[in-house]
Amino acid sequence: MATSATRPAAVAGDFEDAFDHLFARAYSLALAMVGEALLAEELTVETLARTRVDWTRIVRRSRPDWYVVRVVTLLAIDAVARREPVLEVTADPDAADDDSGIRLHHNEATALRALPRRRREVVALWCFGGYAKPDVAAILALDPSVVEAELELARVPLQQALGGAPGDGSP
Amino acid sequence: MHDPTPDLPPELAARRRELSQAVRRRAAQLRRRRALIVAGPCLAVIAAGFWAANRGGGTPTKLNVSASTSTTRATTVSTRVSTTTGRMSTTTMPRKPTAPTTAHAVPTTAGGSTRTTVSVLGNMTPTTTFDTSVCHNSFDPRCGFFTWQPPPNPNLPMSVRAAVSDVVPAVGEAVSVTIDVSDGDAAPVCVSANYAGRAVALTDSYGRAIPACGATFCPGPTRYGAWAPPAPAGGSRRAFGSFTPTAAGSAALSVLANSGTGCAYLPYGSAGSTAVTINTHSTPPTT
Repeated sequence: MATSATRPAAVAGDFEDAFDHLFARAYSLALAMVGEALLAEELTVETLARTRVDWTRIVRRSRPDWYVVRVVTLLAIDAVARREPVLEVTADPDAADDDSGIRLHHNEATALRALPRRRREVVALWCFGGYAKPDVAAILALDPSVVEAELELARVPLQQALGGAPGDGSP
Repeated sequence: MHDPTPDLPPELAARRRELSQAVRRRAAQLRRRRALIVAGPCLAVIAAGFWAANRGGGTPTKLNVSASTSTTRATTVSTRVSTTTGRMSTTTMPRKPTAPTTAHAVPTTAGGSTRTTVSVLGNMTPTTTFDTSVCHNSFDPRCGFFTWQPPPNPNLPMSVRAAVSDVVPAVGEAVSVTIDVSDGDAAPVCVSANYAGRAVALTDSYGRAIPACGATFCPGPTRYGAWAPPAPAGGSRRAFGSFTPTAAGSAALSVLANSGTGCAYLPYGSAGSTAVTINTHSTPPTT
């Protein structure tokens, strides 16, 4: 996937005008990560509220929706890590299985939470957000080499936390 | 992928107005909290200066904090906290009160919403106004106890079924179990199985572990005031597991499932259980 640094037309001007675009963007990402519609909706509302509070500052950015992506990603990690590991809400098990490569699980969220914030964002956006490395670099305003380095630095602690064998490949 | 502009799902598009209001309310809360965080140190500085100026009980010193010329020792700090809830004012009164300390709440009705004004007169006490019209689906403690408005539909029961490959296995012979759980108005969140006091690991059809039922889960932060109940959304899930009896005799395979019972925020949560008696004989497997 190649993201464009061009501001979407829907994300310019008034917050209410951008609401649908931002909400859909945040909700789809939250739902993919937490797998529960109710929780995804709450995370999205929280994300949009934070965006609304700082909208005059955020709207000046080249891509205001990337702010939403970052915030909802961090909130999703926190929410999944905070909740009890018993939770596995799926309205439709088959639908949940379709998202098996994206879905954030409790142990993964807990492991991610232990990482420094920037590393956490890089890993979350790449592994669970479905963004390619160049897109992650663009969203986080990082050099692509920094993204590579952060992923490399995150690999060992994540493998240790998740019980995977060292060197068994990237997530 | 997420970069192409996603569409608002139809079920959310239909509730756009409600979602927009929820965002606005939460934003108002965040602005209010931010304003208090900003105002807090300022008030502390003012209070400290006020205390220093008046300690010892000598002749009162005029403290002029506002830009305008003050002819009294009263200092008023006003902070714009929200565009929707109005203005919150904190008034610092003279150290020695000129009026007896009293408190009264005056509910008024304006524009269909109830506005409660709490006014406290006396020594260094605040005056706040809270508009309860923002109390639908709110996280604000001032909205009072959490309730459903309107009440949710009657809760539907959960169905739990367990099937084992052999109810009369030999010692050391693996027995597989398939568990089907369904709930008409809430998705199952966990499934547990125990045989002879030991937990049986359960997975879905992709081999991913299914969480065992433990502590009750409640989503999100604490809620206050009236909330609209969620739409019933049933779900089902199938779990697979296996166990190996290690001793002859009769023992039960007990299965427990939960779709959110015990959490006040999940009105359709239910729990279900079932048990299968396994009679193990001592003949070892022929293989």
